[in-house]
Amino acid sequence: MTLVLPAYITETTTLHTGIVLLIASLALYVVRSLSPKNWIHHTGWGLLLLAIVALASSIAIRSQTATYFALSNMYESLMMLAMLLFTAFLVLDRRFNLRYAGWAVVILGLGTVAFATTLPMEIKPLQAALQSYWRSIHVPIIIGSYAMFSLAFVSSLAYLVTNAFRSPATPLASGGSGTGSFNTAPDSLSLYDEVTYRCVALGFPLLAIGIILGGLWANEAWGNYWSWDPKESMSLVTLLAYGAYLHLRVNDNKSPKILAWVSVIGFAIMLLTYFGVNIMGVGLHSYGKIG
Amino acid sequence: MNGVVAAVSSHFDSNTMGNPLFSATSPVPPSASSTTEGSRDKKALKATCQASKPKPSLLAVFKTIQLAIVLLSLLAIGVMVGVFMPQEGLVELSQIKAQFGQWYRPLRAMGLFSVYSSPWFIALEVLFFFNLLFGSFMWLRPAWFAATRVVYSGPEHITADKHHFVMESPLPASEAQAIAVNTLKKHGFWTHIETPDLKVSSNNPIKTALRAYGHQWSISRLGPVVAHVGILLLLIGSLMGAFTGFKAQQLMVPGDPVQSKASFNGLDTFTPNVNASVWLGSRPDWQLKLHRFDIEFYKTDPTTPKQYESDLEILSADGKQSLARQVVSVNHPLSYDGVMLYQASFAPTGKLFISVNGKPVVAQVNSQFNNRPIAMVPLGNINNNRSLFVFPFFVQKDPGVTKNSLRVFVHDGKGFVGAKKGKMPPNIMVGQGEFGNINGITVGYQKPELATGFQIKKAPETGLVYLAFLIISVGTALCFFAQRRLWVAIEPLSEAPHDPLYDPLLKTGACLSLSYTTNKAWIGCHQDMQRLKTELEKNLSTEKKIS
Repeated sequence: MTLVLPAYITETTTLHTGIVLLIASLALYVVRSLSPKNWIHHTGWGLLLLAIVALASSIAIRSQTATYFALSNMYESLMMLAMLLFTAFLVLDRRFNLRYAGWAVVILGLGTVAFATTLPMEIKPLQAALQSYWRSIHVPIIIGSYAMFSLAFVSSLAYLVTNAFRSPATPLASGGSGTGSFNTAPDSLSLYDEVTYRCVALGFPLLAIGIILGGLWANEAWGNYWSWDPKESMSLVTLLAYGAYLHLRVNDNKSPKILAWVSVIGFAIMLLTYFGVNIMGVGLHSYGKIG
Repeated sequence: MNGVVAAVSSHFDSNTMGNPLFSATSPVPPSASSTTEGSRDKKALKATCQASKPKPSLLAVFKTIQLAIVLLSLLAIGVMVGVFMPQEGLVELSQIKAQFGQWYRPLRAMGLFSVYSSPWFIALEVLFFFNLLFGSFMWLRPAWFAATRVVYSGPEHITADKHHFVMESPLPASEAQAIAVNTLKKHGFWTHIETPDLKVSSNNPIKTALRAYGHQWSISRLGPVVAHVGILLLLIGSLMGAFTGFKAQQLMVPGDPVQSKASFNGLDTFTPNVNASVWLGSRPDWQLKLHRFDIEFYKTDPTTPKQYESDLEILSADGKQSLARQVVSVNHPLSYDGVMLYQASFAPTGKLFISVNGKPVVAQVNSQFNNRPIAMVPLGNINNNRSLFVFPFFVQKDPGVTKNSLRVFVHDGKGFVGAKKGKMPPNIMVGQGEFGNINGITVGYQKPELATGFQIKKAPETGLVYLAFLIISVGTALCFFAQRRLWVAIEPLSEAPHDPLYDPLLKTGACLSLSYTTNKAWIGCHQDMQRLKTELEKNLSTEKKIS
């Protein structure tokens, strides 16, 4: 089915609209960290939602042009990452009122979109190995986990920064598996600690399931569910790192500061998996090569 | 409306995971409490016994979470070494030697060029296996109890808990209980109500309390154990695959009476997954026959192949009976008798189907010119014993080539015909399916002969591994959720009645106390409990009074 759109609604115009909305939303999130007014909060939130709609429209129009689901190269995957990052953030923000960390998330997402637009954007026909329904399942789930780990990273940073500038009178956040407190003020350390945990707790099963689905696809396409391909191996390292985070948190009662650092390290490993292996351009997952 | 008394505390607590059955903050009935105390005594006794022993139990070390974290980190580092060091099998040995020079030998001895089969990596995996095995089952019992045990708690325990609230209601206790339980259900809790013993209760205000227990996502307590069982199965599966599976590769040429057939005794490569001397599997006895191989290119982009297709047939051992036949393509392998046959690669065989002046000729790449493979096609007496020098170019094999084509020169034995110094000799490019003319000779290019490469694999563990995948997925997904438990006690607001037949539960006015706990994500839990409290206050202050 082909949807006929007015001439001014194109992949590019919707993308640009999305970027403008993101910048506007960013401005409001910055103001919000200075002013507690509700309308600033709600307008920023709403603009971010509209930005997601605009970016999603851009990718939808692109998919229509390409005649396949546009998630096959680095540009498209970064766009998906930004959209999932924003979506997850909107849910968290609604739930926990992340007043002081919101702008950092919007900057991270905006940076992701800006970086994506510097990459080759032309639509190319799909390689034989990518012509499979598995692509539409395996890739979004993995990107979803990356979005959650990115949010966890921002939250850990917020924790570490807040902790560094904390006045001595402010109580410490509870331990990883402590019972927390009622102090759910927007900048409370325990809130950042919990948001980090929630994000990792969702990102971890997503990554595990994503890798597993990738294994099923690989078994169909390449004849092996596991080949120790660099991308596979690095995904496993990312999974192990966040596995260590979860075990440290749930069972070893480590201080939230250590946990925040583990989350930061996990994010660095995730970046290495996402970009590093692609820059090397080796192995079976060379579709997302940069440049 | 009665005044609502709410007491909410906001203290910090120490870790509650040490005893997963009852958290330190959860109200525990006396009987259960004593059990816990009892087990603590036993633990203390055990600790004393252990202190007197010179050696700590190896098993105790194996099942620690600390070991798990160390192993996870070491495995992660090991895998990263495998990513960043060139691995044998993926990179040519000579290249590795050249790159590392004198360091090659010591690094190789450390297993850094074959990390995943190195003794230290396998040792880590074995340790990981036992850590999982002992660690997981140690957690099974407490996790099971935490998920399934229904525990009631009286008001004296509830109000002693750090996370509790208390409120009064004008309603009779039994009605307040019904409303409270309904409210809990609306908030997604599974509820259990204790049946009170009314006869005993009338003189004892503590025992007259109606008690209820609510819980949600209790099944999530089993998540870690389920995930660990999945990983154990996965490790067992890969061990099974190593000893019974094999891999093989085979290039086949359609139409060639010899090269279009293959039996498992004559494959290009056949490698059992472990050393052949300890391998427990067997080779299939059937044969392969290739009928056709095609590469389809995109019409919009003739340099990108759309699909590779091989029409493959499986024949019985004597080659007489057809057992299976399928067109194999990328993402669509052929599966027969537990063996999978995948479309893996293609390669020009060196044969070129061309025509010279309308006459079909099979040209064979048989020589080299300036380090490029060429086919020399003698023209014989057609053209004064000259030869065609044919340089083939292949899409996907030669960089920058957008179409299979031939560059054709005419050679007279001494030099290229019509050559001038410093200039490229006269030549023509002939694309596949096209014709060209040089020196009065018409050259047509029908197609190159292509061989298709199959990857052949037997992985008997696949079913088990897939089951493990499923279990790990379910287990890790369950881990996301937090188990919340709450205890409710509702006491009638009355003095001890003088009339022994008077039922205090029907007397108007009740006091509800509720305490809660969760195994993770406390802030979200506190927030939800605040909402629950607000709703309970609203529902319990209802105007439906019973006089």
